[in-house]
Amino acid sequence: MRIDDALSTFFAEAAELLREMETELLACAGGAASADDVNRIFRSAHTLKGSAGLFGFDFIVEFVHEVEAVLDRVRQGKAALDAELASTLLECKDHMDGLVTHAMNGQSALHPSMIERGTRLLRELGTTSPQAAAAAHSTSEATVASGAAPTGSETSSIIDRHAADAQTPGRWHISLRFGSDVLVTGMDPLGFLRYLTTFGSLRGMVVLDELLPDAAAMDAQKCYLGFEFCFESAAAREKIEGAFEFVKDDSTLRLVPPASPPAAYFETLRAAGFDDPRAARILEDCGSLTVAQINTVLLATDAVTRQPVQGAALKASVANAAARHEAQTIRVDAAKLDSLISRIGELITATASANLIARRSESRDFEESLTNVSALVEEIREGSLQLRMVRIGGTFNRFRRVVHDVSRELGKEIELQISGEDTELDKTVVEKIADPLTHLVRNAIDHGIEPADVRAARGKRSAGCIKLNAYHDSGTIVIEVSDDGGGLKRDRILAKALERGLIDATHKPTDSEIFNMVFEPGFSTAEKVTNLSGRGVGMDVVRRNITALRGTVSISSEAGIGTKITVRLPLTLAIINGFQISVADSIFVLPLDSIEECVEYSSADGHDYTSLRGDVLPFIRLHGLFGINKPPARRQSIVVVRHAGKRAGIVVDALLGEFQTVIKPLGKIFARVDCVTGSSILGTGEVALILDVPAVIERAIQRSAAWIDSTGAPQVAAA
Amino acid sequence: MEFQLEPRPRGAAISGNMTVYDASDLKQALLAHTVAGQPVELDLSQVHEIDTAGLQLLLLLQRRCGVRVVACSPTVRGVLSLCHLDGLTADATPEEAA
Repeated sequence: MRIDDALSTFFAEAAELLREMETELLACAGGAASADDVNRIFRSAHTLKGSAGLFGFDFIVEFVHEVEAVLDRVRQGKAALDAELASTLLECKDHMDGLVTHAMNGQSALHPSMIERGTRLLRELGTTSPQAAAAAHSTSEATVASGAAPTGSETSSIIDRHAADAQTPGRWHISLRFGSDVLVTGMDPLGFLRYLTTFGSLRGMVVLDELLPDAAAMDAQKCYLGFEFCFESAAAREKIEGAFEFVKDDSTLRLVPPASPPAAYFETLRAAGFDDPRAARILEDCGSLTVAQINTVLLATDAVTRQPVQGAALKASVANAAARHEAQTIRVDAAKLDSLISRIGELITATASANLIARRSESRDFEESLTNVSALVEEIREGSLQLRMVRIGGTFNRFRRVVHDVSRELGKEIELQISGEDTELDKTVVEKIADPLTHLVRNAIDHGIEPADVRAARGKRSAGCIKLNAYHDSGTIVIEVSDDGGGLKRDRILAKALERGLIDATHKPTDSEIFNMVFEPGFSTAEKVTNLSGRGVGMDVVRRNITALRGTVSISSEAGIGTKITVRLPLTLAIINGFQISVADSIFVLPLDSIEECVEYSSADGHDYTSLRGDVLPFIRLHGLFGINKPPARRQSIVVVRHAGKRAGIVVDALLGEFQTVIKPLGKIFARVDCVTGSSILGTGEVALILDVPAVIERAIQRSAAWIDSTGAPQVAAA
Repeated sequence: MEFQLEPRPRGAAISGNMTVYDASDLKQALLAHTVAGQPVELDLSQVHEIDTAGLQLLLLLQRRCGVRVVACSPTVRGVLSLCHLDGLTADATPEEAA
């Protein structure tokens, strides 16, 4: 592993730690910080400090150290983590973000404004003399550029320094085995552990039950247990060893003093009979070494290979430890994934063309083997698309901060409820949806939630509530942003729309038509423009961004109850399961997920709707829609499609079946073509258009609604 | 004997002492009341004393069939928390051993 790789791992880890810290802090800012929360924040800070130290980013270490000190006081109950402190800590977290970014950019000297900010924050935290911190800042120099590989000795020097800190207790790792007869001699191993807690604390423990025999063979009066634990104490070695004086002859005690290089931990555990992967797990579970420190063993590999005897063993331990971590997650460059997906797109097209040739060649063996290939390609496609899927929870959690900041700024009390955070969607979609969602959330806080006095007058809880929800629905992901505020002002929007000529004065628009006016460019009904929103830019941008992702957005609202904005997005942007249909010589593709069923064509007296098991089903003829001037086939079919709870039929000549479809975007000249979202290249090399199902449904419903309006026929059932 | 084992629908309630003095009897009783592979729920709210031998039996049981401690006395909680074995308790309010 090269130092650059290690560095980028550090930056990724730091970003993650800071994100975790933010989440926890926000939870605390909401009140009721449990001891666990504080511990987690403390651990995040502690790990960040440790890893920053390994890379010699002293300016990060100095600052985080002070923050950690404050957290430690909270942990010991000497200070309270109230909303005020949480806010300051949030700012500190931002500052740490800045410091990490600074380290990433590889500059050596901190900008004065950064130093000033750090000093101010430390003053607010009331930790140490700010001058000292400032001095530390200015004297610190990052060793990024030099690229020196941190070795075990460097590691320990940093830990040493902290261990030498006046009252900072060190963390010992203790490996303890008792003789099997210890119980019958009247000694209780637990008693020794309890005694240890009188001058230190057990940070983490693994009770080993490997030596426990089968239930039948076990002698209940013998001790089979072993204990591995991390003991934090300022006590000297003699004192710790002294605790086990009574069982000295009959037990094995192995100590790893604080500040030992990580490799020493591995050596001790190897002596205790563990293989390296198990040792790594124990050390992590006990908290004796941080993941970062286990990784430093990794970094030390280079140095160790020069000592062949020890090197091989350590290298193995390193590889094992690394493998264990990689088993959980692997960081992959997003560009690599993208290129993989696009290759798979090509593969699908190539397979389709091979299939075609196979069919023409009429060789049974050829066709059979290609069927296998196709099945495998299908699996690979599924699998690789799965790789890109991420939980939306991460994005949702970001909004805790948005809500926290915005509600403070506006002086509103807001509660954020999140559900469906396990819903997965394509990484690209997640990234692109974050901004529009932020806008929607800000809007909801600013315009949606009424001021506290209005809420009180309406008999609502004083705290406003914003809900974020996500779920899957027929091949799309639905994200809902709802608030329990005052709702949209229907009349004012209508008046504004009429004034701007967006609605024909003679037309009686439905509520949803009116509400969706807010997505028109430059449309704002806010009486006052705030910092956050109300200037009429935004909602149209939101819609544009979402449309660019082939998604839709709609809004529903009830006066005095609240507003709900529903965003629907396709699960993925690259490849879909397509269903091919043909009209005359043209082939079209429908996303398979949007299809409900296919039925034989019939119509009510040549009108544009039919009866589907008693319900009225509006449909659209592709012949008419695309102006195909050829006679329809003798036996046409209707494909019933569904989107956002509405459905409609599409009349086609023939159903060709299910095919993998790689979506190619349409050129700019097709941007104004309605009802088509993209194209795909078929195995024959022909181009098929992919139909835009929501647009087709909308059009079918409009048409038949217009017709029904004029004749007074029954309302169209929107299932 | 200083302990009583009272069968419950999905496990058992133990009262008295879980110490080395009665460990052999307790082990027999526990084995008689459990089937390998079928998790048991243990009510340890009436346990006055527990030592390494008692803890060892819990771990033996955990390996044999899986254990969920649905209730525990302060003593038991203290020991589980000391050894960072709070995972055995169902009402998991993991406490950091201070």
